[in-house]
Amino acid sequence: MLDKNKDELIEQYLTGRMTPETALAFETLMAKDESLAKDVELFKQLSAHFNKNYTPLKNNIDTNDLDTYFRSNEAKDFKKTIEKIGISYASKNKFKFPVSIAAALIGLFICVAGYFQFNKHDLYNDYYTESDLPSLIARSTTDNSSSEIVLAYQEKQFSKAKTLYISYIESTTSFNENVYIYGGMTYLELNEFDKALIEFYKMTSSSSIDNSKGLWFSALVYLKKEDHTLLKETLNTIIQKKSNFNYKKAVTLLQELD
Amino acid sequence: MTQQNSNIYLNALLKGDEKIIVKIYGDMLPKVVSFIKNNKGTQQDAQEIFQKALYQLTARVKIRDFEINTSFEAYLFTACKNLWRRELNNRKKEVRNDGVFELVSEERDNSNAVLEQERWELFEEKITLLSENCKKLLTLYFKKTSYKAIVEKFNYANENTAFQRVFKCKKRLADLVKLDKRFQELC
Repeated sequence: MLDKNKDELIEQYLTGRMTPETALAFETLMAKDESLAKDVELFKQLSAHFNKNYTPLKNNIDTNDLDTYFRSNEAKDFKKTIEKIGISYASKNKFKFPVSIAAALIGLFICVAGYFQFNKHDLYNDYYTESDLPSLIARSTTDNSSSEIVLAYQEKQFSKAKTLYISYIESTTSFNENVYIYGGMTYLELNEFDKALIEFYKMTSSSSIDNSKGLWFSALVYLKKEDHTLLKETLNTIIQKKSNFNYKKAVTLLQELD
Repeated sequence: MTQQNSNIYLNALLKGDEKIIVKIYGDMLPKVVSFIKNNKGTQQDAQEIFQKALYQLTARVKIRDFEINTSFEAYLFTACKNLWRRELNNRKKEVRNDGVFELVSEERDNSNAVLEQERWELFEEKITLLSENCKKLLTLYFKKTSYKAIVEKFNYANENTAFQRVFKCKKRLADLVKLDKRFQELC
């Protein structure tokens, strides 16, 4: 039960008005008195709520029922559905310009396209390098299919790689997420940009340690598509974290674009 | 009508009805994009947050029999705003720790976000039960307004009176929260 004395102490503690010694004594008291600790935590959370700040959940909260659902195939299928709709929605709604502006832009584009075509093609070739592609180590000796996709891709048999990839994804439940990169690149080589983006998005949203590769390869799609707006947005996302794949290349490419 | 519309959208999510989910995107994503772009984010951030909110909402409906009492749009927008605050906080944390941060599975992260949204609703629900005066007083108090300024704003006799009033409001709110069975599960 909250009393004024306790409230005053909590307030002093949370507003940093206690001396270090008193704060330490108060923390010792909290460690022994669960009710006091709960009150302090509650006021911390209420303060964050009123200030529209974020406070994480405590570690000991039970999340089992939700965890089980999020691990289920049902949840994963639903996630794929909304991701697919999201990507399709984004690609359909990117070019909603008024007709007059669109006409002017097309005119302008025709005038300068010839000049820029060469440079943009160069830019894609400069930034796409096969050495960025991951190696796929089969999880079992019976899993040769992913190696076949890689082989078809390396031999530039992209239609074959696509068929192999689709069949592999449909029939395999546990695989190295890096295979999404090969799927996406296969689609990109076939100029099926939206499908490429879906595969790279799967990589980005996967739990793989390499998931930031999905962002870099999505950037390559926009580079090839010459969609500078989304290219810059994606590069800006990459440069928010130094540990992201090809962070330095993203910085350089952004500078070149500017 | 609002409740009815919410149910239509919730059922569509449960069934994975692509036609209505596309409509949800068309009707509601632009507002979220605008909010996130005005708050240090990008179009891609907005889309990811929107998808997460829909995904987590579906889990709540499936696991918790959750129902929306306001409009579906208002709920979704609030959930997206809360998720974006969470995301910004996590990004700051990553920067502060220079790349070293606690690894949480994607499933656990989604579960935590659902429970944080439930905690947000618990607090909001209890705040609405307070008097208008208490709400204003606590808003000022938690925003670290001095008791001196509170005395002036509310024409209280002195700081001791202000302290007593704030204390009563805090106690009332804390009691309301603690008496709710969700308190033990969420706070």
